[in-house]
Amino acid sequence: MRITRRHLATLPAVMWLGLGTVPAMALDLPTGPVVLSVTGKVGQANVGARADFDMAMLAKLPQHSYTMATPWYPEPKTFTGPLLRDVLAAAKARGTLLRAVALNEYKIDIPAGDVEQYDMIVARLLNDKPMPIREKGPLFIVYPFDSNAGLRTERYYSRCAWQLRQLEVQ
Amino acid sequence: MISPDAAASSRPEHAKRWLLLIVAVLLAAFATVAALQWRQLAMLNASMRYQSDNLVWSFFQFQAEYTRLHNTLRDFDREPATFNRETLQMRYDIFVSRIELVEPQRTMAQMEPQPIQTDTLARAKRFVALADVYLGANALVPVNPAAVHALLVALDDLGSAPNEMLMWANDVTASQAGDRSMVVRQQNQISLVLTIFQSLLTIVFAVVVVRQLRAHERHSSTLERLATGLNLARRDADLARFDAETASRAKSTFLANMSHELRTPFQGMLGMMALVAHGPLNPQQANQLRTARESAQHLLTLLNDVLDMATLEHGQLKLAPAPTDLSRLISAVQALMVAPARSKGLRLALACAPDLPQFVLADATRLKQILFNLLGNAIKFTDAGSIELSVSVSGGTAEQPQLRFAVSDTGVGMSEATQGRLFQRFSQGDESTSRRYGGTGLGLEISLNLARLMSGDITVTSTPGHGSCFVFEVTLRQCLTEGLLAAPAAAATARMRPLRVLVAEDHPINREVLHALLTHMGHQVVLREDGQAAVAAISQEDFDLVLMDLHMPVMDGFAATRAVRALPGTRALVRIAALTADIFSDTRAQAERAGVNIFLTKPVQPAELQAALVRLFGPTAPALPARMPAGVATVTAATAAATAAAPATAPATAPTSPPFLATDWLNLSVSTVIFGRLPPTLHARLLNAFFDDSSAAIATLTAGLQGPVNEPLRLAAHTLRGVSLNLGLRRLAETSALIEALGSQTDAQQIRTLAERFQAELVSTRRACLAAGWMIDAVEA
Repeated sequence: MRITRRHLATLPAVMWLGLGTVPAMALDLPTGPVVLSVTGKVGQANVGARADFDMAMLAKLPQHSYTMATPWYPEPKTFTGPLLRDVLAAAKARGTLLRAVALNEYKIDIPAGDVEQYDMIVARLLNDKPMPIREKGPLFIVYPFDSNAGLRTERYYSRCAWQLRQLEVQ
Repeated sequence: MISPDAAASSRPEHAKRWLLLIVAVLLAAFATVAALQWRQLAMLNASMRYQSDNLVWSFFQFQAEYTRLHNTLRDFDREPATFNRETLQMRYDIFVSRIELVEPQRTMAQMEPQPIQTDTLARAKRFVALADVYLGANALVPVNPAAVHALLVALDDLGSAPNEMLMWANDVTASQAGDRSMVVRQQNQISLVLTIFQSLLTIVFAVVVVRQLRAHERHSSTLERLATGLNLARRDADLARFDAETASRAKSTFLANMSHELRTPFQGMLGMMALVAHGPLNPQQANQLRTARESAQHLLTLLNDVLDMATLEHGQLKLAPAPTDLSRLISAVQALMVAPARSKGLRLALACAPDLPQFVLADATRLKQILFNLLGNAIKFTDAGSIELSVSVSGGTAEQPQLRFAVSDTGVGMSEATQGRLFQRFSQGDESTSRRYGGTGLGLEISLNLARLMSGDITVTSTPGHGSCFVFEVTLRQCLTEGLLAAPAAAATARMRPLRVLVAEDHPINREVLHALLTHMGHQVVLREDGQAAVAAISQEDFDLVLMDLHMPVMDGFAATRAVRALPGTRALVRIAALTADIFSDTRAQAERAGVNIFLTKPVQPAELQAALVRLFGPTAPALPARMPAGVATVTAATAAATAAAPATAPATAPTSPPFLATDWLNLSVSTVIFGRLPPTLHARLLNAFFDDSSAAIATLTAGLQGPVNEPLRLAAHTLRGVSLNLGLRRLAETSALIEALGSQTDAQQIRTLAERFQAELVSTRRACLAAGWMIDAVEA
């Protein structure tokens, strides 16, 4: 398993499709306000060429929680949300690079390998509460810093996009 | 100069101190570098944790979101138609979310809070407090275009503060980064210096270690070389000593063997001169003859010195201490030396201390030899005045007194240098005295050696022109009486109790000579022809003494002695005297191991035999009246007659031979020394038996000489040699010895030559015996 992951991580092109824990099925239409749009190479679009998610759709995906110290808060916090991998799989997105775009159009590139190799989550709850914009919400991509000390560097901290609004698959 | 040892021992100490110092400095350098790097790591960790690099980004975001909110409010204020509540709400929320990023409690770890920061944040929070009325989570009034202007005015209160705060943060961070990199650079420089220092020290360390190793190698190779050298030197020395010892042994053996050969003709010479002296001589001839006899006598003395020295050197000379009457010994010495002293007009004084022990355990012969030598020297080197022998006790205990024999003279004396050389070999004072006084120069060395053999010593004090004083000191054991053992000198005149003596001797003539000698001394004699018969006799009867020939057929003397010693009971303890013509030390050693008590050298001399018997059994009565002078007279007369008769008979038996002297063939002294005391016809009878055609010894040897050299031939030659020596047949004894010494590989020609020589000598010797009057030719008679 570990070998397979590493092997895949070294490939330039990675297929997220089918690798997620969610069975492939038709993507619902958002009923509430859209909080996340997956654009670019998306296999399962629901609005035009993009896959839009409201909070309820994200909450329906399997949820993961990490309680950990981060540079953004003086004390440890619990982050809860679906795996980034599962979100992309739901959109049947496939590509080699993921560009996270924040509300203020702040952009950061995340290599496809990270999504495959690390159990990154799209956190939607902080200490079990939804995050307003003024508290870096509503979505926050985090790495599992608690279980992997090697991730606790500026390189990975900078890849944690908060006030996330869009994922551009290239 | 420093000794190599001292240098070698101080060098490692020195090097060790250096090594320790270097190791200490190296450790200190390592520790410093490690501490520096630890500090660097800690610094880097800190900056990573607080993301100081990212702080500027936070200030930038705050400034950027402030600007965007301000722009949005301004746009809506100018054109209220474009007002969008959601857009404003999001811009506002994003701005608010950026405020906490630049709060002093979050940034103070990296940057000291300054008024620009606290003031700006205070103003931002005042704005938020106002704006939250319209845009907060629980807004009292939903935001509307009318509120936009009020919000814009309130936000304008911040003015350029966010921008200035960004500049300030950027400056602080930049200078911090500069400081940090400077610290890192400095630490790197220190590290570099320390690393270079470390490298140098490591090189020095390596050099010292290499030098140490080399020194060690050099040291061990030197030791090895020394050890090898020592071994070689020791081996050389061993070889040299072995060679020297071998050479010395060969020389001693040669000299010891020569003693017989040299003494025999000397005795013949003296005998002949004695004969001549009794003839009619004019005064001039008598004078010349006396000079010749004195010269011969002197030569014999010198010869005895040389032979004594050889014996001493060979270590063969053993002292035979016996109870000795000290005052009688001193008197005897004085009596003998008085005449030569008087002849030089010297007075010989004797001073004996009153506390001298009467009897001491000493080898009287050797003791006298030393005193003779010291007194002889004194007489020799003194032209006028007196010689004094003083004897006293100079120490020791009552049981073992130290005796001091001092011989002082009024002679030429010696310088200190001469005294130093005195006891060295062949030293005779200085060159002038040696030419003047002559001598072998061995006398003092022999005396000193004898003295040392007795655990004594000889010292000398002298003043040139005033005389010398030689002191011989020796510690002797006092004894109460002269006991059983008497000195040989006394033995000659002692008479003994009758003994039962067994003679084991294979040759009939030797047997008969011994029988005659012993019987004449009053002892009872039993004769046996070989060792086996002797052992049988001893196992059945009690004997006081066994005279055992060592070379016998059937069972030789060695085996017979061992067999006797192995007998049960007291008969195994019988005293055994070995008879041998050998004087080789290994023969003696072998016989001693077999159990022989005493040695008698062939030809057996009556005096020696008597001395041996006295030594073994002690005197019990006055000795036989000496018949020596009569014997000499008898032989002298007979020989004189024979000499006169010789020219008449010689041409008849050997017409081609030139006239010859009987002494070429015969040992004339035998007739006086051996047969002088025996019945007058015995010698003649034995000679007749010897030359008889049926004589076994001659027949065996003659037969043996027809074939190859083998053991029976050697035995026959040995027997014949013994017989010849006893009968005084010198030339035959020599030839027998030659035959006895033949090797197995001797070629036939050489044997034939010897056989012819032997036959010729039989004839010549018989003629010499007739000429000397030892026997009367039966045919002619």
